[in-house]
Amino acid sequence: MEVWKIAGIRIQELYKTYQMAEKSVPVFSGLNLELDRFCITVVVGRSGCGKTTLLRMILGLEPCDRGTICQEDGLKTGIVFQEPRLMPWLNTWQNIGFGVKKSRIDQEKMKKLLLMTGLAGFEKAYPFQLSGGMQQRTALARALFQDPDYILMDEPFAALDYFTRKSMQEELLRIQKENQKGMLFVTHSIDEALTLGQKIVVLREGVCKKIYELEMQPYPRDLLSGEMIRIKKDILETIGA
Amino acid sequence: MVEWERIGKSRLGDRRCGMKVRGKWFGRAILLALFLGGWQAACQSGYWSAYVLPSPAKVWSSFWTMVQNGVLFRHIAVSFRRVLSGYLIAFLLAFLLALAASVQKKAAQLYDPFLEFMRNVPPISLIALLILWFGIGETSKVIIIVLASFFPMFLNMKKGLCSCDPKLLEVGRACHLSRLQCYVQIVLPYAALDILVGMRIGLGYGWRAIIGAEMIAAGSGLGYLILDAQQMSRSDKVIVGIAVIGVVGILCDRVFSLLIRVLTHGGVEDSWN
Repeated sequence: MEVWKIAGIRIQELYKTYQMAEKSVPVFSGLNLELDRFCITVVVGRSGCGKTTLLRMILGLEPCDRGTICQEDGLKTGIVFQEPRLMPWLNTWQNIGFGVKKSRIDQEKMKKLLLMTGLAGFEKAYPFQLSGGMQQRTALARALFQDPDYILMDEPFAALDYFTRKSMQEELLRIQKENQKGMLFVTHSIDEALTLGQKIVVLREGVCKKIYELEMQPYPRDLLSGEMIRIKKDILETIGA
Repeated sequence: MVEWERIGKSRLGDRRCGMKVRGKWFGRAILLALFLGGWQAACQSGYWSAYVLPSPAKVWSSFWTMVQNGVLFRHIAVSFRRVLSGYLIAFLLAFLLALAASVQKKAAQLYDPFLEFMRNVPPISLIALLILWFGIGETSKVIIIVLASFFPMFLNMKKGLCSCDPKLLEVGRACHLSRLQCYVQIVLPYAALDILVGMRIGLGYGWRAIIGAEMIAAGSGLGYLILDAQQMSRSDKVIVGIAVIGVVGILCDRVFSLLIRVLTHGGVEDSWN
């Protein structure tokens, strides 16, 4: 991956095609996107529009056919996958600290994260003993424990109930505000995009169809306000619903 | 109130569990008593001669004599040493070859046809050649054990090491782990259960092969005990030898079962299921 002097991640002329049963399925056909280092960017779009592929390509888990993905020098990225992907042989504590040397585990930071994600008291529980929501929260805590500069999130709250999702969204906004972390958040839910996004990107037909700048909208947002309803209608139209 | 209810339920659960375990052992004891009773009745009926079917009392008496004069323990120790030597060599070989197969898939393509060939050859059929090549000493006996216990271990280890969930490996990459770190922290723990199950089956196969191994001019060991007793027409001693192999096998198996339970943190009740 080429390293440029930029703040965040820059995607230029990205092309990607999947081969499925002798058929070429284009995902990206010249995608251009700038992801600000300190901003929450939410990507929305229909199923199969390439939201997850975009995250995987930024992380280097998937190669692109053509184009460049450049990131700021020394930018540390973390990811929360769609599924929890916890190590079944590790308990909650060990899963959160996965990838970090035992001697380097900050106990205070760990306790803080356990409290924040509502996992305090479940440190010694193994993934098979946790509910789906708790597993996803463990995955979120694992990503945050790595202390990344930029967090990629692939529908991380899809499996959570309404109240937990709401509190996690609030927590995410607090983390972003306090630590000035950049986030790329992929979701199906327009409401979630409007709740979190400072920038909403609509993917359609392999390109970035429209970008909504919501930086001027203060948190917490009232999704029933006239302005929000107008943006929601516009996003739905752009997606092609 | 809620806490009390939970404690109450937990104690009730413990009591139920205790009763279940006691019931299981009671059922087993009844079955054993019925088996021994039926055996004794069959001997007393006079239908079979004492040579063909010695009575349980006669078998117990032979067993007790061998325990008292220490002969049985000597045979167990010798067989145990042979099984353990062969088993450890087989484990090392199986682990290294499975490791090579998981790291470099092309390596497995080289030795797979040879291993497939050897897997289908019964170890006992090699006795004549083994005596010719290695003599009648310990080497040929240990090789029989190696051949018997290698394949279940190798196949399980290969399956475990080669079938690691790619989604978990992606987590490793996302956590910026190196290839070696991913292998040590993800692939090996992921394969641990398969490795242990392979080791458990391999040990069982090792004990099953002991008779074949000790057919090669042995002067001691449980296999020798059985073959010697057969030649001396001592069916009671044959039964003692068989029973001891079974019991030692079960004890070794229980150790592995316990190990699997500890390593899987109670998540897998019984790896056979």
